[in-house]
Amino acid sequence: MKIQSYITPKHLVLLSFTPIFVKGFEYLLIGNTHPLLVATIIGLPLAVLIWFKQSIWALKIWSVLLIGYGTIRLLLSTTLLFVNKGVEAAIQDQLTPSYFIWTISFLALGIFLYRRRRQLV
Amino acid sequence: MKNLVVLLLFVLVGSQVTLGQTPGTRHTGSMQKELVAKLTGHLPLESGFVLTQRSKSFERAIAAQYLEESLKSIGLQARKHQYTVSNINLIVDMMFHPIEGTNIYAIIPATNASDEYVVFGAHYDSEPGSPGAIDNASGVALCYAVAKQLAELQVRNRNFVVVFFDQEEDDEIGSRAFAQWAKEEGRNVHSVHTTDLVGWDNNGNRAVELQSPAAMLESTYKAIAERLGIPIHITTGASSDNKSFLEMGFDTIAISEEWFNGDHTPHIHKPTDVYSTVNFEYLSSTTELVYEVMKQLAEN
Repeated sequence: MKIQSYITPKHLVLLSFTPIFVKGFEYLLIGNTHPLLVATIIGLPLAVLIWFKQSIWALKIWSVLLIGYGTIRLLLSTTLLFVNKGVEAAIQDQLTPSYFIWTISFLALGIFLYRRRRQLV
Repeated sequence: MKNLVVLLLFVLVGSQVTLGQTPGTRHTGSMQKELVAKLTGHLPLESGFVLTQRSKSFERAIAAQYLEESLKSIGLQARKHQYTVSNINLIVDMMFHPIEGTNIYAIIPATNASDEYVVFGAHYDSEPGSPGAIDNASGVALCYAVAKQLAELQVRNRNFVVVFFDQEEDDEIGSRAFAQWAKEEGRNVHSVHTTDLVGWDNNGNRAVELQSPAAMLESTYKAIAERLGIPIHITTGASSDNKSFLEMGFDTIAISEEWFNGDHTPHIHKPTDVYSTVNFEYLSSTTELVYEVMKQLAEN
């Protein structure tokens, strides 16, 4: 059974995009619209590309963004683990195993989408 | 005759020892010591937990719970002011969750109808890796003792709010959230008094620094300090929770040891900021100054 028969690019983009949108709403609830705005600015062109049957391009762009996002999170969190001075305790507090699991998940999904983008469409 | 002279001398010496102390402050010393000891891990909390720092969220939650119970034990209705705020910039927002924290406060109501509130407080969190005895269990102990004595006053012509701020060490997040909230609630805030670092007095002169005081507060503090024989130094800027209130236009004053004058704790933000470094006589003296100011604000 081929992978694309049960996972469509839409599903994967939606799945990986959900945490970013959730974050946007999390900040919206406290009156900060910027993260949701960023999520929309990224999400809208991807949705348009998929709508116009340009899923390979959408997957390529989105997977690169995911890899970048995961890499920045990984580098930042690893650095913060070793550099304690001047880093807010509130940030240090969030560097939990679940933060690293999410980070690795973003990275892994980004790589998976990039490598399998042709098979998935 | 000889016995009479001895008795007179005894009375005289006794009166000198208690001179300058208000009845309240004589009884708050042991209470302050216990509070500082429990906040810094010198003594375990009732639960048996030993707080070695108050930096991580679970440690701050334990400290907040302890302070809430401490306020209740002196007959005040302790309340939580919980807040959730954004990080310093959008990039950090996209990487992390919003920041959450809890300020603990209690209102000491006016005995005569008043809509004015005098806010006084200190931050209870500490820098990671530091027990935070002087920074700032000392400030918390000061406010706690002042709150206890204010609650015992028969007449208060203003409402008083004692507040223990969370996350001062993270750019005064807690006090900023509290100041914002007070402003949004439209409270008539008479003045805000914040205490930070009030446990070091190496030269023994009992001097206090008042940072960026509002004019009316400066004159009140100066007059009372003169009466109590406490030297006062006025400094500018804002380096603690007073910054949050100054930025929002409140009449503010910050009370601390001689930070700019050079007689301050060398242990700040270090693992050595422990219970044994706190000068409790100095803490008591500064408590008395703040209490006398509050008492005057309560009476006028």
